[in-house]
Amino acid sequence: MIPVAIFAALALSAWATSSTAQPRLSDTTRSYLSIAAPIVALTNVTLIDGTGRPAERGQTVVINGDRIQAVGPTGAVSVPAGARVVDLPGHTVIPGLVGMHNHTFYTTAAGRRAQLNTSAPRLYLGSGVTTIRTTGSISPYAEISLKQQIEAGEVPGPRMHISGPYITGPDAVVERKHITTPEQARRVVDYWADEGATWFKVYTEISRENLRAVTEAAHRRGVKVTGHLCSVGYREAVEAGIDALEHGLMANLEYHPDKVPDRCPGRDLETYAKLDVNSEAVQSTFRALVAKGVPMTSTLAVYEISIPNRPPLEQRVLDAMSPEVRREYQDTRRRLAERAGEGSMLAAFRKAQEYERAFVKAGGLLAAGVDPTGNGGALPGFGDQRNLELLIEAGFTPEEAVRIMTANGAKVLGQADLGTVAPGQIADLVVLRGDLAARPADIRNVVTVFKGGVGFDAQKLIASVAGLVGIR
Amino acid sequence: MSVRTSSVLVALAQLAVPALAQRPALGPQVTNYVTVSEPSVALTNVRLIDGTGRPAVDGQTIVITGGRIVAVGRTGSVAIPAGARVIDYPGHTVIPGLVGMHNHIHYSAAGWRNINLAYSSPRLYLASGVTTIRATGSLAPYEDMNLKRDIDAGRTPGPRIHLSGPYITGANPALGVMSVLQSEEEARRTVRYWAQEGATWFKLYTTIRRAEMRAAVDEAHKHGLKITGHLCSIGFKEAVELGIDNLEHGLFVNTEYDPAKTADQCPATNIGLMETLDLNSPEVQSTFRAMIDRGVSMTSTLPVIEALVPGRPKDIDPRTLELMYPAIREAYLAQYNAGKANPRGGVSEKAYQKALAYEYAFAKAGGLLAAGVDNTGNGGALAGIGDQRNLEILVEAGFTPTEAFRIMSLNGAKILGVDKELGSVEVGKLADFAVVRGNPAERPADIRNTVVVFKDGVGYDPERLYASVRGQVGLR
Repeated sequence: MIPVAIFAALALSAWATSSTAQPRLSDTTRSYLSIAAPIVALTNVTLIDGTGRPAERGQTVVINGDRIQAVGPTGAVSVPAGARVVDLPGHTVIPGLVGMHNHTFYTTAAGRRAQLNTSAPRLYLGSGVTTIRTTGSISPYAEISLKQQIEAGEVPGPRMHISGPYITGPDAVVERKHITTPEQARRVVDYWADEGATWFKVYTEISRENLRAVTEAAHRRGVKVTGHLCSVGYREAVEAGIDALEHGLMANLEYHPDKVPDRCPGRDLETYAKLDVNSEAVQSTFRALVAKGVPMTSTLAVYEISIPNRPPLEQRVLDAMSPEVRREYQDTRRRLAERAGEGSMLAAFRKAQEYERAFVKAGGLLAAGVDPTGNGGALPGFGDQRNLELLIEAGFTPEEAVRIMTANGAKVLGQADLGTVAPGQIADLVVLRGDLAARPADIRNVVTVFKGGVGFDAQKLIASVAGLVGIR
Repeated sequence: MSVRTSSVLVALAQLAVPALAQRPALGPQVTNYVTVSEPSVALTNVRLIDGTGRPAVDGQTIVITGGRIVAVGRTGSVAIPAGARVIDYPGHTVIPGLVGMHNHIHYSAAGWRNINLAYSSPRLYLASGVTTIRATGSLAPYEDMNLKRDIDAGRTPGPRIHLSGPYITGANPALGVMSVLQSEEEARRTVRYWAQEGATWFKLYTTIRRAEMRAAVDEAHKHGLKITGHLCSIGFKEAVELGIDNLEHGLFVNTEYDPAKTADQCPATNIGLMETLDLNSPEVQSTFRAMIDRGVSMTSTLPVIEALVPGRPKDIDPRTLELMYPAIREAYLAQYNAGKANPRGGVSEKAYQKALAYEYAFAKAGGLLAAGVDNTGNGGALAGIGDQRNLEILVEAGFTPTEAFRIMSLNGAKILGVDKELGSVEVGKLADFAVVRGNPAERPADIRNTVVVFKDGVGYDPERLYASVRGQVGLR
């Protein structure tokens, strides 16, 4: 491969980095900072702390280094001398979002599939997503390099928990790693665990035997396995030792009348629409997941984009897209709109929302992520924000929805020091203009995103990738 | 997830595909493009350029039976089996299936576009007469492997693929798609893993250090696999010493003539140095000797470099623009026109001509030269189309057309170790060749006129293959 500007790569000087927790930030990364002080106090904010507790007004959050030092009513919390005080009446603070089904690649309905190492990390961070789990990689080395660059302070982006390649059976779509034997499963897991993958994602077509081989190999290495399943039902997958399940209802084929073991019958929207979430079949799924502590990841934003005329078209989405992707997406929307009234995607989607709500009611652990694939209408970061509205539409309170999108994800990742705004926690938090508990749409008004106590200018990050989604 | 109902359905449809046999039954995605599928076929009255370097011969008949070439000779003197389909091709030339030795499934273009084209690339290669490729460095290795499997199983049209694993490099912040090696242990682990996955080649990239290279070469050779490099931090002679099997790109990436070069460091590209380099100097001659003594081949990739020379190619192949996705076309034309307006930007004509001369001198000194398109850079050299362009450029470099064909076919097959089966149109070999309208021995541009491309004795329709990807290069 010869890069565009002849061997431009060669001219770049090596970027020296230390391996300490707080790396020196490159000039590029520094150019996106808006608040960088050793001690920062955010005063008079409304706080939604990620635990599910109701929003509290008039709060002060003190950040010291990369940690949250104090949280409490303004006035009652002492602000250390020398702190940079930022008074934020009319603003809401939430924990940094933990995107649990987030890719660094992106697809469109035209067949485009592009690795977005430039735009995806900035869109995530600029949207308040401070941690992602990548949940299947089409170019795993690209993800490893990106994670290293972010950790070295070289480029701005979220914390990354990376997964290895998609692992699937012999007959699935082309860009994934196909395995046909347990031995292959072990080899793939071992190699990518050595390279730094902490999760694996199995995809649609996998036999129970091979799924078990993957989970056993992963657990031996101390890493985890999640799945976007089809050939294996959720109860079977829990039996086979899976650690998490992606997409909720629409990837669980165990209610399908034609389901036979180890075969993917294809999605049947009618079956979903008719499903009774209080039925024994569904409740027994939930019991199996809850008994083994297996969480589910909600990806409502990527499902919604297959519903005619949804979501409401946002200018910022079009602005972030490259011109050709914008045309592809507008074509897709037009085609979907022409079919409005046909099919039952909307009914199935509503049932999927109901299913997730019922799962939580049954004691299940629900997290969320955007999944910026499908027809390309759910962008990195923006789609994570949209999840909040869709979870509220599903029946959760704003505080519960925030918890699903923050603390619950952190819990799935085993990161007890992330996901909530409380003393001692890592200072990953988002400052939003507005009152999120009253107006969920305010999730879009991100002003500052703190990652490890360093405040990034959200709008500057997003502006820097205008026109790049779909290209790089 | 790529959650589209259609992708689930596609996956399901694939379940119905017949089992993989030695010569698999071709699925509908392939037979759609097939025009000649009889077990026995005779092509009569063709001009033959056989790929061995021998001069073109007129009035030939070529007989294929069961996927192999069973007879080649003067029309009239060659017996045509009963029941054979006879196709008369006066005014046409048969050329060997091209062996693209620096070819990618992925593609890069202006605006830092970098995308795996598992749909369009294999079709472009086949349509252009490239029946074998070595994927020299992979952006999405699993996708390339799955593509090869689908082609071999007759599920999708495309060339034979020799897989390389991921790009293997040292510190390289600019192109974040590669396996970055920090230790010898990592080098061995990476090679070992991808060897098991089916890679038969590895490609080292610009900032690899000698220690990791030595380990990677050793591990590859232990598995019976080969290793090539687009180098920079290591000069060609050092690489030969370290045991490399093949060197990519020729002069443009051989930094050993640069006085600023220090060990394990990649100096900036020095165009001025290339312009003034004396090919008869002891430095250059010793590079050639070292390579020839150790049987290390060189891969010519002139189309990708030509695209960086202002004002080149003089006339853009109209097919290139038609095949490009509209936004890619605009971006490429903008760069091309900027180059015309500012002839001092990019690679100088003088340095480019030196690169041509370097390859000619290497071959004339006895070196084994092969060729491939390298469909990256500014996106001007497309899969297949750029491989054809190689012929015109190699002729410009001084080779005869038949010598150039040998570089583009038999020499590549030799490097791949498949020259007993492929690489030339000779009795006993697999029937991989193309029929082109005209006479590329006299007008090299006639190589563009592929009429039918045979792979394994099955004839594909280039026009239908091109039509299926028109406007999609850069998209999928």
